[in-house]
Amino acid sequence: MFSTFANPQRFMNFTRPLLPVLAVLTIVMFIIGWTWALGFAPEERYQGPTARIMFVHVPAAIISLSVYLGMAIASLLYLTLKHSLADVAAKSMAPIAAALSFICLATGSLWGKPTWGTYWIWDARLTSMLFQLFLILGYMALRSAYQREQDAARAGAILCLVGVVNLPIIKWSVDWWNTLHQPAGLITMSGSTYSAEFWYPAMFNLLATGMAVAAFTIASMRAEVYKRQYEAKLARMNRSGE
Amino acid sequence: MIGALAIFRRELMLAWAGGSGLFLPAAFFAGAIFLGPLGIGTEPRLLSAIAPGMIFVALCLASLTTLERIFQADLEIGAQDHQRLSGVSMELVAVFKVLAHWLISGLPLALLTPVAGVMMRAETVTITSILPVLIGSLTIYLWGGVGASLTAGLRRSGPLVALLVLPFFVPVVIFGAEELTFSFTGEPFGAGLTLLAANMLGALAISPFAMAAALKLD
Repeated sequence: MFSTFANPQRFMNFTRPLLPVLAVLTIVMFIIGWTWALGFAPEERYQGPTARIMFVHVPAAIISLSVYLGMAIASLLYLTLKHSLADVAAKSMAPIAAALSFICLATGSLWGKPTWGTYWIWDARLTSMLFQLFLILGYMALRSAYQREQDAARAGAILCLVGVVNLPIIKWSVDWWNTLHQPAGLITMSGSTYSAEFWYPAMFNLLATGMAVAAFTIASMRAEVYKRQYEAKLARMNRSGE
Repeated sequence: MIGALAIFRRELMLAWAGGSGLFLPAAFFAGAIFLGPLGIGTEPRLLSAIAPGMIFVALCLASLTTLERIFQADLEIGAQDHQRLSGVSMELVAVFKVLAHWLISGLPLALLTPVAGVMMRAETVTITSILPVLIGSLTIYLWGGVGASLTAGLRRSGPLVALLVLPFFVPVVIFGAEELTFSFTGEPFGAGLTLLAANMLGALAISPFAMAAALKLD
C-alpha cells in the first residue's frame, strides 16, 4: 500500500480531489462541534462555563501526540525505504504537531487560572507536553539548519526516531517526579470520568481536529511536492545551460 | 576492536593536549554553581535544598560548552573519512569518541561534586555523592553525542545542539537530583539510582546507532 502512494505523481493525482472535500468537511465539523460544545453541552457543575475549554484542549493534546507518532512512522519509512514522500510527510506534520502542542499548553494554562488559581503548575502532563513541544521545535530547527534537502531529511528522521524512543521515558520520569514532590489531590483532571453529555461533543471535536490535521497535512505535503518538483526542474535547466 | 581502541587513545591524547577540554567545563561547572549563592543568598538551609538541582543544571550546561566539537574537528580535517575507511564500525568509533570526551571533560565534573556540596552547605557529603553525577554525566554525554553528530556538518551548531538534547536530559536531572538529595541529607540511595543507571544503559544501547547513522550524512 505504501509503495503505491509513494509515487509523488500518484499522490498528487489522488489528493487533488480529496483536499477540497477534507477542507469543507473540516469547516462543517468545526461549526457543528463548537456550536454543540459552546451552546448545547450542559455546564459542568463545579467549574461552570470554563470547563468548555476542554473541547479544544483535550483534542489538541491527543492529536498532537498522534501527529508526533505519525512523524516517527514517516521517518522510519524514509530511513528504511528511502521514499522521499515519507520525508515530505514528516516535514509537513512537524509544524502541525508543534502548533497543537502549543494550543494544548495555552488552553491548559488559561484553564488553570480559574480552576487551579494559577496559569502554570508543574503538573506531570503539562511538563511532558512542554518537552514534547521542545522536541518538535528541535526537529524543525535541525531541518532548517541544513542546506540540502536530503541531509535535512536524514538528520531529522534520526532525531525524530531517537525522540520517539525517549518520549515515554521522559513522560514516565516526569510522572515519577511529580508524584514524589507533590501530594496527591492537586491533579484534579480525572480524564476518564466524562459523562455522556460531555463525551459525545468531545469525541466530535476530536474527530474535527483530526480532520483538520489531515487537511493541513495534505495541503502542506502538496505544497512541498510542488516546491521540490520546481527546484528539480530549475536544477535541470541550470545543468543544461538553458 | 583494536582499531577502535586506537581511536580511543588518539581522542584521549588530543583532548588532553588541547588543554581546554579538562579545565574549561570544570571551571564553567564551578562558576555556574557558585553564582547561585550570590543571587539567592547564603542561608544554609535554602542553599542545601537547592544544591542537587543546581549541580545537575550546571552539569547539563557545562557539558554543552564542549559537546559540539566531539565530531566536528575530525570532520573538518578529514580524519573522519579515514576512520570510515579503516574498517572499524562507525558505531564503535562514535561511542569511543564520546567515552574519551566524557573521561576528559565529564568525569572531572563528577569528581567536583563533593566540593560543590560542601560549598553549598550540604549536611552530609561523602565520597558516594559522586555516584549519581557520575552515572548522570555519562548519559548526558551520550545523548549530547547524538546531538553533536546530527549537527557535525553545520557551522555554529552550539545553540542548536542545546535545543536538540535538552529534552533528553529530563530523566537524568529528575532521577539524579533526587538521589543526590538523598546523599546530601544522609539517607541511603533509593530506586532512582537504578533507574538512573538503567537510563544510562539505554542511552549506551541506542545512541551509537543514532550517531553512526548521523555521521554517514555527508
